[in-house]
This record gives sequence, structure tokens and C-alpha cells, in this order.
Amino acid sequence: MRSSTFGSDAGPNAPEAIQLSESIGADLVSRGDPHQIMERLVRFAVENVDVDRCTLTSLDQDVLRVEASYERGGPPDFVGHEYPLDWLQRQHSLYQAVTTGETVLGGSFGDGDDVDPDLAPWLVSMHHTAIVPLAVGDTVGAVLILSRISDRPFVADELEEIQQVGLLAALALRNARLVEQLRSAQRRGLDSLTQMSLHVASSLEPATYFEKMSETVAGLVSAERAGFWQLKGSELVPLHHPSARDAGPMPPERAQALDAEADEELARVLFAGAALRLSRVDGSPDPRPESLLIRLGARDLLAVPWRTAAVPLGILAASNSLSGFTDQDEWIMRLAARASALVWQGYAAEQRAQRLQATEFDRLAAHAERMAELDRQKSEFLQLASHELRSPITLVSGYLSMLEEGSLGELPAPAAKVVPLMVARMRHMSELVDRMLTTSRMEIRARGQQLRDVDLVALVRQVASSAGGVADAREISVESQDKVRIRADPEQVETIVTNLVSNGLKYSPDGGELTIVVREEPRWVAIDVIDRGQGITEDDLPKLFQPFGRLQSAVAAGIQGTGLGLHLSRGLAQAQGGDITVTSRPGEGSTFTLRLPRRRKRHAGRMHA
Amino acid sequence: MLDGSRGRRLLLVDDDVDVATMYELQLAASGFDVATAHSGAEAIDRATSDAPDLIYLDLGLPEMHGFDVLRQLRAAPTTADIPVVILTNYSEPDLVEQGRQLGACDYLIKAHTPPGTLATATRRWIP
Repeated sequence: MRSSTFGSDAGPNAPEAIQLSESIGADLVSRGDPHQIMERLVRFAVENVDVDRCTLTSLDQDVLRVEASYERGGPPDFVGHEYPLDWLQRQHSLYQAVTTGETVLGGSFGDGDDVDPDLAPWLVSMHHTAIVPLAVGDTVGAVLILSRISDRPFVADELEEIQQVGLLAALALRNARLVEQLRSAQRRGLDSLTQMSLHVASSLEPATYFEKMSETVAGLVSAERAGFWQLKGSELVPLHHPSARDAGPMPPERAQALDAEADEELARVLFAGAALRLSRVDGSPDPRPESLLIRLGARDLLAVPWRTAAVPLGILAASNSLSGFTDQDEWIMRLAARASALVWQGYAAEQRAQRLQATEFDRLAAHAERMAELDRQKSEFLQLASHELRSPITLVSGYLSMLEEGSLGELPAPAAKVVPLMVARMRHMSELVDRMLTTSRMEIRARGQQLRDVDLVALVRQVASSAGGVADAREISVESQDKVRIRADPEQVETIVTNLVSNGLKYSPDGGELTIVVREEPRWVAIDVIDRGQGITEDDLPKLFQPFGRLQSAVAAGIQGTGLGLHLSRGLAQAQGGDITVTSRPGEGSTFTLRLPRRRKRHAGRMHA
Repeated sequence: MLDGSRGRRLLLVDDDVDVATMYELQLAASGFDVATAHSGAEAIDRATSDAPDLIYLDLGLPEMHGFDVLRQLRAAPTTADIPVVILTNYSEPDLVEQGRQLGACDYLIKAHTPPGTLATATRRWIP
């Protein structure tokens, strides 16, 4: 079909045609359902051009389709009907208009035509018809048919008016197609976005992600291959073998590095954000032997920048399209490249974070190791020193006891008086050394805990009953439920509780009652050891847990002790992931609370020195 | 001091000469025939030549640990049956356990064992 003369004929009158209906004109170029516009148009024609019926048909792939029709008294019911080419060829006037592109004015449509009245009710029963072929692009894509029931033929004077309506109809149709294309593009865009976001959302390995994305892109733009090329130095290197949707993996020799600097076109893609579209016309080789297409062995190519907001990462390229690359394809690829840049940034950030984390972990591990080593050295030194102290104690207290027993002969009276004093003090000193040894030994042992299921209530009752014997029949009451089970080192817990109980007894010398409460908190199991002793002043509270931090009041009261008990106990508690706290009122007593975690964390708190 | 102790021979192994002398003084006064050794090698020599009735053995000896001395004594037929009591200032439970496993009859801490107490203990082992 040759070009219609309609457009050029109507040319000089176009401004007036637009003026025919400002509202339709506005609709044509702006919003609205194209079908609605076509319906308004045919109605407008009937009302303004003095015809009885106006019908607008599209003509696509040799199928005539009634898009809109209006007749005085309402729309006829044949809208949507379709007629094939062979039918069209039998309609003489209509076929003539379509093939020549010229408006045909005729009498009764049935005259001389082999019209099937059932198939084309919109052509018959009218006395006079004007058939206006409409050019959409270069071909006649639609036909406007104006009909009169009355016996009033179309005259040449009316032609201009009719053609103006035809121009409007052509515009409406073009608009309708554009809208349809836009919608299709939107659908494809949405589809692309959905597919891409699926890749982004699934936590794929970087290599898998880029491979999948390449496949997706190839599918979306109907290309044989698509792939990411990464900018390394001045070269573009394939991130992986560009995906070949149908033809298997790309041959390795084609997955070559491209020289980004040598290729001005690629440089523009990389650094200026341009898209590159190349194709070999009719399969003839590109005149430049070094051209990208030759090197890639590709028929055609579409490359878009793959970059973050600031940094060019490379390009995303697709080649060997099914039917040539379009603007839509470019748009889709830009979208994919943008999404992939974000993903790339995400991976990079994750890697950086992992590296940082690893460094930080190493640093902490080294620190913990150093601290553990210092701790071990300290414990070992304490142990060694204790042994060394035991030697002179052995000798001095040994000879003192011999002196006291008279094994070395009679002592003069004054000497006999002081020797027992020295024996007693040496015994105290020996005990002190024993405690130091025990402490260091337990500190060493705290690093190798034996975790077991422990019933704290049973443990506390046992401690209370054995301590009660020592405590001169003093009352120790235990308040708790039947069983409280936790995971802990039972020996250490026993040591701690024993310490707290003997502490409580020691510091309430006037026979005050001691109460032990075992209770459960959301995250902890707590054991309160409550005494009715002298209490602790606020000044003394911080000293309580320091090694050898015996209280002034205790020293003044002549209470025996090494000052290691609470320090040691708290260290053991912390080694179990717990702690010891104290509340006290001078004159009323103190409450020491041991808290142990109900669930052990993987890394228990370390023993404090 | 008891007549019954006379002639009972003891070997006291301790590298601390002063401590060895102190115990020797008391044990001799209690009527035991006491020999001393200040190293592992000397201890094995004396044990082999003297065949004592009881050996007090320190652990922290120079060059040879007390347990090695004990092993060698146990391995040699002439000394295998001599009762050995560990007398040391090392009090770690696993050492006590190891001493028991190697066949020591007892494990005493020097700082907790004044000479008078040692003499009493000795009379229990070899009346």
C-alpha cells in the first residue's frame, strides 16, 4: 500500500481542523483511553458534519476491525467486528480507498458491490457514503466511513470538512497506538523489574548473581548473549563468560578483554554514560576490521554503562538480538545495569565489613590471648611464690615448734613466753600462703570449667547444712522452691556459696540468723545470702571485692581472714557468666547476691584478676 | 626417743640442707638412724647401698624430679619394696594423686608438718 495523500491534502487545513474541536484535540495529545477518544470522535463527526453514521475501522495485518461507530440514535452493535482481507477485496469502493489512499465518495454503498448484508451492516442501508482512508505512518492503517441515510449525496464542498475529521481520526489512532506501545513498554519494564529484583532479593553469590542477571537481560531484550564486562585498569574484562541463552556458553576466545582506551565508543559508554548500539547491515562485515562487532563475532551489539553514581564499573552488553535492539531494550539494560551496580556496591560493602570484622576479631582474640597469658603468668607466679614462701615457713615454724616442745633444750623463761606467740603467727602466715595457693589454683582451674546440670537448691541446702555444723548450731534457713536447675560448674558454685556463707557467719559474730534465698529472675538465677551482721559502710563497699580488701571495721573487730574470699568468689562467678553484688545497711546487715545465667552464653565472662 | 625406734633406718631426701638438717635433728633425737641425700642421684645411691626402712622424698629436686626418683626406686629390685612418703611443699591435688599412683604411702606438706609431727608419723610407719 502506498502512502496516503490524505496527510498532505489536509496539510494546509490542519490548524483549522484542530480548531474544529479543541476538546478532542486536547484529548488526543494528552490523557485518556484512546477508544474513548475514538468514540467521541465518531460522535463529533455525526453531530458536526451532518451525517447519520460515522464508523472508524483499523486496518492491521489485512484485518479490518471496527473500532468505533456512532449513529444518530446511539452506537450500532457491530463495534469490535473483524473482517478478513478476502472480504475486503470484494468491497470495491472500500478496497479502492484503501489501495489508492484516496477518499472515495459514493452513492448507496451496495451499488455495484457484492455486499454481504449480514457481515457489514455498517455499510449497507445507507444511501451515501464517504470512505476516507487514514494514513498512520506510511501505510493506510484505518478507514473512516461517513454515511447518510437520507438521499443527499456527499458533495465536493464537504470534502474539506470530512478530511478534517479524518485528520483528527488519524491522530486519535496514532495516539492509541502510542499509548498501547507505552503500555506494553510499561508491562515489559515492570516484568524486567520484577525479574531483576528477584535476583537482587535472593542472596546469591556475586558470580551467580551476575550470571543470572546476564541471562535475564538476554531474555528481556531478546538477545543471544548478554554479559557484564568489568573495567580493570584500562581494560574491559568479562565478569564471566557472557551468557548465551540458546547457543550455549560463549566460546572462551570471545570472552576476551577489550581495550577500553582504544575504543572511543566504549569510552563514551564507560565515562560519558552513553549507550552504544552497533549492527552489521544485511550481514555484511563492518568496514573496520578492528571493530567491536568483528572482535566479538557479533551481528549487533547494545552496550550500556554499568556504574554507580560516581564510579564506572564497566559495561553491560547484549549481542545478536532477535529483531534489532530498540529504545526499550536500552532502557531495560540501563535499569539492569543500575540495579547491578547497587548489588555490586552491596557485595563490596559486605566484603569490606567482613574484612573489618575479621580484623577486629583478630585484634580482640589477640587481646584476649594476651590477657589470658598474663592471667596465667600471674596465677603461676602466685603459685610459685607461695611455694617459695613455704620453704622458710617450714624451717622457721619447724624450729619454733621444736623450741616450744623443748626438743632443742630448755628455754629461758622470757623466751619460752614469746615462742608460742611466734608459733601462732607463723601458723597464720602459713594459712595465708595456703589461701594464696588455693586462689591461684582455682584461678587456673576456672579456665577449664566442668559444666553440668546443677540443682542449685540441693547444692545450697548441702552447703547450709555443712556450714551450720561449724557455725555453732547457728540458724541457717534456706528459702526456695523445690528445684532450680541451671548449667554450671558445680564445684565452683559450691566454692562461691560456701565462701558467701562463711563470710556471712564471720561478719555476724553475735549469733545472728543467716538466710539463703534461691530465686529465679527472667535471665538469672539468684542466690541471696542475707546476714543480720554489722553491715558495711558506703566507704567500704568498693573495697569489698578487691584482693586483700579487708574492711577496716573487720580488722578493728579482730575478724580473721585473708581478704581473698570475696575477690575469689566474684572472679569465679564472673567466670560462669554471672556476678556477685552486695547491698548493705550498717547496723542492720548485708545481702550478698550471686547471680548465674539461666542459659550459658557461648563466651562466658572471663575470670577477673 | 623410744627404744623401739633404735636401729630403724631412715633416708631423708631434700635439697634444702637446712630443712633436712632440722628434720634429721628431731628424728635422730627420736631414736631413728637418719641418713640424708640432697639430690635424686644421691638418693638412689643411698637407698641402694643402705636399704633404709623408710624414705622421705621431696619432689622439687634439682636435675631429677622426685617422681623420677620414685619410679627408679620402684623399678630396681633392691629398693622396690622400701616404703616412700612424699614430703614436699607442693600441694597440687594432681601431684598428690600422681604420688599415690606411683606407690607412695603418704603425701605430707612440709609447711604443715613440724619435726615433732614427722617423728610421730614415722613411728606409725615403722614402729
